[in-house]
Amino acid sequence: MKRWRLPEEAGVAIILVLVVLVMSILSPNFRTLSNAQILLLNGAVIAFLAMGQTFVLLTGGIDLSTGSNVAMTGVLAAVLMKYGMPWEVASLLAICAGVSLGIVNGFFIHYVGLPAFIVTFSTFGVAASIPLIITGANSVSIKDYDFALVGRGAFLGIPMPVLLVFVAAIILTVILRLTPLGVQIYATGGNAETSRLAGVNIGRTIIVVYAVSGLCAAMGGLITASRLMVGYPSAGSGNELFFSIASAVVGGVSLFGGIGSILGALLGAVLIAAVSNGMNVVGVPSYWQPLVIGLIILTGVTIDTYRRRVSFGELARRFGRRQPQPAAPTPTDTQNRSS
Amino acid sequence: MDRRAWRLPASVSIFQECRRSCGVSIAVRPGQIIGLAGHNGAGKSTLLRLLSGVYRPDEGAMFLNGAPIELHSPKAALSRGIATVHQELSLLPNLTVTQNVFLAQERTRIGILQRDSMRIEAQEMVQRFGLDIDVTMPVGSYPVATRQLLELAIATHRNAQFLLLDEPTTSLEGEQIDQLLETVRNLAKTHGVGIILIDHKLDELYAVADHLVALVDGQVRIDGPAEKVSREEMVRAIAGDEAVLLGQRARAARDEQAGSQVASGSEADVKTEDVALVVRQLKTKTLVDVNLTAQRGRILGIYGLVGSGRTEFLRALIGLDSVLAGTIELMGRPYRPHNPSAARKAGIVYLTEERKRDGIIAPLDSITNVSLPVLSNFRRFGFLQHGPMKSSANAYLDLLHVRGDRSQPIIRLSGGNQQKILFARALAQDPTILLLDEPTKGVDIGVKGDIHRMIRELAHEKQMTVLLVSSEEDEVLEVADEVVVFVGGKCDGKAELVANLNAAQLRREAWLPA
Repeated sequence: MKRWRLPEEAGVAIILVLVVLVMSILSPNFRTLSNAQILLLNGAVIAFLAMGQTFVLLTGGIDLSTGSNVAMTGVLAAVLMKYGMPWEVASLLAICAGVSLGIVNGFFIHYVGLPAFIVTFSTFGVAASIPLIITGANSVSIKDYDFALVGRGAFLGIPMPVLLVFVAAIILTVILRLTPLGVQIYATGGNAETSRLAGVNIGRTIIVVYAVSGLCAAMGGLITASRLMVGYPSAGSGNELFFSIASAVVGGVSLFGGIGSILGALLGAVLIAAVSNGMNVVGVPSYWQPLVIGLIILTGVTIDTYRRRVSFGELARRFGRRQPQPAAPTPTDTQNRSS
Repeated sequence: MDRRAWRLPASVSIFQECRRSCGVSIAVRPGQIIGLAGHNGAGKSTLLRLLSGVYRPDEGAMFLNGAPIELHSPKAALSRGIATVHQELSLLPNLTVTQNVFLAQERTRIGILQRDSMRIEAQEMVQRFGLDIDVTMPVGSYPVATRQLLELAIATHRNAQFLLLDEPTTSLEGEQIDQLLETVRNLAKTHGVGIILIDHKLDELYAVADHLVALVDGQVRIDGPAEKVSREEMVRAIAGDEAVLLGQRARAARDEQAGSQVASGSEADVKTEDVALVVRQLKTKTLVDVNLTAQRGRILGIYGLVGSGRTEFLRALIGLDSVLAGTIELMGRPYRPHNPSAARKAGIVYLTEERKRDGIIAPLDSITNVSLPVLSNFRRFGFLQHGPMKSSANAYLDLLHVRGDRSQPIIRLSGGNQQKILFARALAQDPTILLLDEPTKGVDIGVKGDIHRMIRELAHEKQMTVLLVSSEEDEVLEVADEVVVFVGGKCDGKAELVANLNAAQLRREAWLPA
């Protein structure tokens, strides 16, 4: 009765493997263990943001404030430590600030009824300014060397940020797949009105997903600050937001809500990190990266839009469950169907 | 008084359009089916939303099992065993059947979903209802009819003592309707569920309801056992006496005309200058072989089951689906549509079946909705002449008796008014051939009469050629002059005069092609 289906994430996984293979052939430097560490380390912040973004996207929203939330929380932690607060407390407070920003987003989106795009666009500006204001646009160096553990530490050779991503991914996946809240997040993104009529607490769901996004951004902020041991007020104003949305989208998270997974977003983040790292190693100037990533987003969204045009059933049959790309049914596809 | 009965004397704030507080009192007992009918704007939807906890009553109270209850939210209603199946399907296509069954009532142990136990129970449930589906598949992978039955099953599974059904048969047909009504009856009689069934089709109400209620302007006009309330009474209450009389008069006029047509039609073939549209061996992606001839000043009814290619045929005529083979002649000249605006220039205008999807432009007002296709008529030096545009649109809206504020976004008006506005839009384009796809879908009996009258006038007085697609046999038989039947993307083009047809014949032809 319960049929086996190829997981949705297979597509992005295959592309990731291909990219890694091609890069490894192109450059011997790419296929070193130390480069793999750097790749994953650089991908960790994006991965965190992408996972938070996934929660938001699943409900049909978007969070544009995550990038500046990284700067806000990183600087906040640095400033608090500068005033002598132990790093654990400073980190916790920074996380609270990140979550609060998410809650504010969720509040305006659900209770005031504003579009997510506008709300998070506004808070993007607000959160970008706060660290500049409190530091007078100067960077704040961190003297508490224990804090370096967060960004520079390692366990069994695995960099701490990667480990943190891993733990967070497991927790978030459990929430999405094994708790009522998870189902209700998917339901809200599928059709909010219908879910509300079914008794889903939409307000709570919306607040939670933006809070999770804020939490993930704060983790990104702490990792960034810890790796550099400096709170940069302009951190996160670069490509972080851009890359995080790209990761989620190429990982199969629908911009229209209701479809996607943490694993997909994670694979997407690694893919984006691999592309960006690979281009560095191969020697392509870094200003090419946004162009390539931009094209990757376009491709991902095109696939997403195409699969929405086909009915959900078709979608599930054609590539949502079995095939990553909008291709005609292949022999394996038909085999799966008949089995 | 049955203690388990559920009474709802509630004061209802009715729509924008009449802005009035009206009192409604209804009682439902377990195992009873109440058939509720009323024209659009009568307050059916408002009542439903009150009962399902979406709105709250301004005054009055609801009683459940003799105790007063207050429903603050849909969830509160559900937890008291009051479930609602809304007009639009309310299952989530992206979730699996199991997830839908347990939505917002997920079974957990220490916060973790009990997925296996939920799956097994969902599978048992669908089997009990005789549905052959895999509960681990997304709901979106099943057809609409299955989803509708699934929705009933889910409502009952949620331990519904009372079930509110809002026009559950709208998107179904034939056997599917029978199956749904059978399920409804079964729920009431064997499971003891109290049901309020809102339906526009009196046949269906009389088929299952024990008790009939007619709602008019937010008030209960008729409330009595089904066997004691006649159809005439129901129609008169819902549509108003005048409408019944007018309807009868129109029917008489039509019968007269039909009679004369039979006489002339039997004489010889129709004169060639009267032929407006000839379609031969038309083939598209979905159509196999369509042949038909439509005459000027006549209404050609197109009957068939959903999926028989009726809508697709209209789409092909306006260039939305590309023609693969076959010929179309328009007024004696070959015609090959490429897009809707080319079709419009050729005088063909299409009125959609899916009002909300490709009909109304929700945030715009009525005037703009009517004028949109003909904006260029009101252009002078590149500027829009609002005055003439408004008066022209108003003329059409008056003609169709559209009520409500015309400067409001169209979405705030009732479905019946929206449909009339779309009709006005079609007329504003001054068509020679009017393609109507289910023109009375989801509108009340009164508006239906208005629209039918309008269609006949357009054809018989203004010499327009009308192609009328409808799933309702009664509508086809009452409005059309001749009828062709579509079966599996084919149409032989043999038009039968309606005088020689009845509903049973139509159904038989559609289900069992010769």
